Amino acid sequence: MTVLLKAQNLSFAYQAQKTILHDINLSVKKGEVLYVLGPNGVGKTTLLHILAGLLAPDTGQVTLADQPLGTYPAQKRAQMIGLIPQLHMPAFAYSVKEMVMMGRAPHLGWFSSPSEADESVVEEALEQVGLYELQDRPYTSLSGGERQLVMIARGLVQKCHILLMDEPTAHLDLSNQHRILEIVNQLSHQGLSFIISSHSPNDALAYADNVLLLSGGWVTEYGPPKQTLTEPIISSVYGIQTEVVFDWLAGIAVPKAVVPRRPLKLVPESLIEPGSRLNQVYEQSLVSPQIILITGLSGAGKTTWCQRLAQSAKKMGVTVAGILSPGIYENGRKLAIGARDLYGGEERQLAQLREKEDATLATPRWVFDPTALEWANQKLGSAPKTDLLIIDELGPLEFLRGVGLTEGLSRVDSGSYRVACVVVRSSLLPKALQRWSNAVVVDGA
Amino acid sequence: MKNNPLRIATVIILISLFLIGCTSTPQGDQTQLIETDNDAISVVEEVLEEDVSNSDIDIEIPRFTIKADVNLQGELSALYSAYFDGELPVFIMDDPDLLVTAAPEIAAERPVVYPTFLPDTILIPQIDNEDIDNFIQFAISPDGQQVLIEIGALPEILVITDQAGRQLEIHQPIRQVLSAYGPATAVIYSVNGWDRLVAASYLGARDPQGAEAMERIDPRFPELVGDDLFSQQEFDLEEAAALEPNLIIGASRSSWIESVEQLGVPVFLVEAETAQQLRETALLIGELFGPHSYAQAQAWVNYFDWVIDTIQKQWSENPMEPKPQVLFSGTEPLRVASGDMYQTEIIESAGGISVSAELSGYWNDVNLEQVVIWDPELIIIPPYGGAKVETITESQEWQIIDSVAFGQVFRMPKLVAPWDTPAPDSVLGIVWLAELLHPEIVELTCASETNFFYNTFYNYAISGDEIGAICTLN
Amino acid sequence: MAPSVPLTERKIRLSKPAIVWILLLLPFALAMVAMTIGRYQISVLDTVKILLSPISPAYAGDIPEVAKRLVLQIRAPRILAALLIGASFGATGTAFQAIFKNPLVDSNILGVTTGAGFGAAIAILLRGTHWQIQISAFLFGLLAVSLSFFGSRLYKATPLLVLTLMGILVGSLFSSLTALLKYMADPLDSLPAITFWLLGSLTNITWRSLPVLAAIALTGLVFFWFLGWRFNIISLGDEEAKSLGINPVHMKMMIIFAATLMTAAAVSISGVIGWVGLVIPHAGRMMVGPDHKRLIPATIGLGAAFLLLIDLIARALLPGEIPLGVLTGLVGVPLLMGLLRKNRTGW
Repeated sequence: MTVLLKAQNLSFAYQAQKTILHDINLSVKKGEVLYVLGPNGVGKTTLLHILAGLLAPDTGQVTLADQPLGTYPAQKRAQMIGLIPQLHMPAFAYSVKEMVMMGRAPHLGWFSSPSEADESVVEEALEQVGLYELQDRPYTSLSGGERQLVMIARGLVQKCHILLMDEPTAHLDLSNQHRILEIVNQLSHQGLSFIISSHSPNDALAYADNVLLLSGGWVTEYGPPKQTLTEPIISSVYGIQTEVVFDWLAGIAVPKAVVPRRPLKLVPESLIEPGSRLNQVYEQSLVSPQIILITGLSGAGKTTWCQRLAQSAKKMGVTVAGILSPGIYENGRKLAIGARDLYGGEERQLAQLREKEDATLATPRWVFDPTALEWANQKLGSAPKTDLLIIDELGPLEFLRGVGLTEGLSRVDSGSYRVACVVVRSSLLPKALQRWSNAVVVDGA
Repeated sequence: MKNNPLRIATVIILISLFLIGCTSTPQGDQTQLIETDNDAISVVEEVLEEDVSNSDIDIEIPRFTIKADVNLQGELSALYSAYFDGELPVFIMDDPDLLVTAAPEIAAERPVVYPTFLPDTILIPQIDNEDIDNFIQFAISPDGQQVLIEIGALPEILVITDQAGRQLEIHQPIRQVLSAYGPATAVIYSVNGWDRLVAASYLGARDPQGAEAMERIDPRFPELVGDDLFSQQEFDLEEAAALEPNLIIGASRSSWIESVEQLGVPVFLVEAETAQQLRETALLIGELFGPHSYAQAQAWVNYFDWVIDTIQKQWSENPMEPKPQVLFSGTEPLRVASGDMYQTEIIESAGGISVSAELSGYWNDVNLEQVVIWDPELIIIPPYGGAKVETITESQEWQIIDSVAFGQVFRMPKLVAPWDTPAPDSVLGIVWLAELLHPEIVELTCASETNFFYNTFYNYAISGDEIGAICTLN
Repeated sequence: MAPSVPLTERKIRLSKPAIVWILLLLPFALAMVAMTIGRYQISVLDTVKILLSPISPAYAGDIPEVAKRLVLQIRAPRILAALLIGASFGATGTAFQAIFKNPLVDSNILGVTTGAGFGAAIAILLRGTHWQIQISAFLFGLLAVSLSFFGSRLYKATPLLVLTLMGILVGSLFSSLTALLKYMADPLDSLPAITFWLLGSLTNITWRSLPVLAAIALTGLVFFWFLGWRFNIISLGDEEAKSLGINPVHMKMMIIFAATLMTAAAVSISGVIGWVGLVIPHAGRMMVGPDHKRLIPATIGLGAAFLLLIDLIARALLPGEIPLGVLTGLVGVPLLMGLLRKNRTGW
């Protein structure tokens, strides 16, 4: 495909010594959607204005269809490139139709007014963006999303080849963002090219062919979004801890969203004393996965504690995976052990009390259901990476005999979590600490 | 002329003052001059006394003899001995040198103003004598007033209500007056109070001709004029305080009244927008300045009434004589005088009808169509504000008005104060317009009345050339 | 979704282009009526005869000369001047509101009227003739706008805000200077003249006043009318205009130049007539909407009709002339309030 717009070595300064943009290179092909990402004030709008020919770069040059942009007469240029500025209110309440009609200006002579033909072009564009019915409404009375659509329609009647959009989804609600971007997507498939400045890496992941990441006036990254929008790059550009959420459903890890990391609060407040070891755990969990070993006597409330932890974590929006094994009681007697998958929420019975203790067996008091165990192991294994992993509990079976919830062990080993809380009886602590030397031990009582 | 005695006396006094005080400037203090005069006289007296003692004949030679009613002799003695340094007057019954008598009934014609030292009491010299003239001048001066106040013949405090309705108590005599209102200044001049002015704003003295004429009338004019310092809007308090006035006269509409009252000087407010108010203004200012000024004010009022009556009578004696329609146009051709304005009274007094009398307020802007409806036979423009007859007569559009096409556009004359404004001079505006409107029947002429008015009231011997320039139409 | 129209409002609804044509013809119809009205009674029939007399004198053979002269020499030039000046104020007000993206500005935003007022005042003070007053007002009007415009050029960019601020500063400067002149003026003659000029009047209009006014006003009006639709784009701001292929700087300079000439020419003849340039665009928008393709002709018609009406009242109601500046407010405010009540729309 031919390159439509190309920028080479652009730099620009509003005031001498205060260069906004340094050495920008980019090119846009027919039908391509290029996202320009970067923090506030990095020069995205300035770059768009240079590309639209509103500002001349200090150095470098923009070529449009192999001709320098500066050589285009204004009207000719406007026939090729359209600019949709950030949403604002005009001083006068033009109707939707009048607003869109202004896009015909590049095709009209100095003193001529729009003709019937122009009217039909406008109506067509309004139909295309789904605003035909609103054409006589004042533009100022529309919602933000509708106004953005009007501006797109204006870009369409301009009949240009490239549309530059300055933050088209800013201030729009989710459905309107979606509506706008789907129309952009659709139009790009019809061959219209877009350069979109945005604050949303997620939109870029979903809609962009290429992403230009600006930081401090320099291009940090330029390329397909899946390659450019990685955790370290985003984190460094925006100066915050972020992580990329992958789409696990597709079978392979497709990056789906970039979200900021928030410090976790895993446990009830009472456990977190300022300066305690636990606080350090949370801080460290931002850097590497952390393990907490919860110990205590039987009946001390370890499972209850884990349950509360899982509930409060979920409430706070923290993702949780793991297996919880609450006792099933009758008349104060523990008759069976359940298994709850914290990720899926399913629950099964894992073991039943033997009628008579048999000390020769690996589990003298409990009869384990092999299918339930297999189910639990499978759930543990298939759960995606989460913030919190809770396993209640890993006992002698796993540690000493290598049977039971073995997947639990390997899951803790894998580190695919930020914090893992593992219930371990105190007799097995040395064994557990041998395996996870940096784990923190907490008394469940 | 019937005002000869006063004129002669005045001329003699002026000459003697000039001779004696030629070293000091004319604006020097009046009192000082008189004292110098006294010294000179006492020197002469000493020489005389020596002669008498030498000749050993004890005969007193009186300076002049006075005939006066017995009850006036006390006042006259006080004045005489004050002026002639303790000498006493000689009263005789027959053939006096100076006759003191009650003021005659003022004739219904051009009045004569006699020196009036007490209310309705006048001094008439019977011979031509310098002492008599000086004495008369002294008797009607503030110094003479002072003497009469001291012996209780004149009140020390004048209780008077000004034209804003404020009652004032004013110490007599007043010697230093500041007039911040042009019409009031014109009145002061015409009631013989001009030599007591310390500063004044003038009517019609901004243009060079007006200023020159005013300087001929009063050589002190350039020093007195304070049009920019003292007006209805402005009042320079510092300047005023430095002049040490003991009376300030202003317009009742002045914006500065409250602040100026802080000076502690009585502020007398004048409102002269109509003929009636102007009469009152003249009499009030006359009263402020003393018996002689009051007599002169009364004379002016009589003259004013006489002029109006005469015109009215002469007009009404000719039943066929119409009342012409007059348009009084202002500084702009289409800015016309309202019915509330003095100009309308002038037109009516002169035997005309003001077409714009239906309007109210101040100057009104109208359109030419309205003038067409009025269809004035005569258009008068004022002698100020750059109004020119040609502006109207040479305008193509104005030719629609017949009177313009026939050249019936005239400019109101003036010497200093415009004759269409509420100043004493406006009596001449009536005469001038009456002569213009009714040349066949009105016997008063601009020339004769101008001559009389300025001689009598401004004490100014107006020249024939000036009269000619003023009274020749356009 | 079209808002449902209540039954009571289902009267004959005129299309917007039809309203524009009506508004454009309105001043001519009113002018014909105004020709027959005045302090001096001339019948409608006679007026028509008089108006036809330049074609053939036979038509008005029996009519008094004075009536003929009144209609042809007094009323006709004044009515034409009212039309031209009203149209100029209407159109320039609309133009200035568009380029300043602000419905609250009027023709005086860059100080043209204030400057002209000062020019007139100084000429009145120096006892100038009508011609000299007019020329002085015109030149000082241009000077004021030049000061605002080039003053704002001292800054690298020329944002609208700086231009507006300069306009306000220059306006204040000239109104202070005018106040100074009024202070210095003789309260007996030049002061009332200045005051009356500052209140506006068409009393002194003659045929001689018209050629220059007509040449400037008509050229400007045609220019604005042809530009009409493009004011929409200009009103969106420089960036959008540029991106739509229009050079906003050149266009605004041309518009300001034309509007300034028109306003200065109008003001120099009429004196200060405020308010028309502010309110007529609003009234126009209420009638035909904000699209300048229609708004410019609509405000030309409305402005002409409005000032003609105002001037008719000024000259015919009372024997004395009523200053136009007084009437524009007295008549215009209730008129606009009525309009506002009728259609409660935004600008």
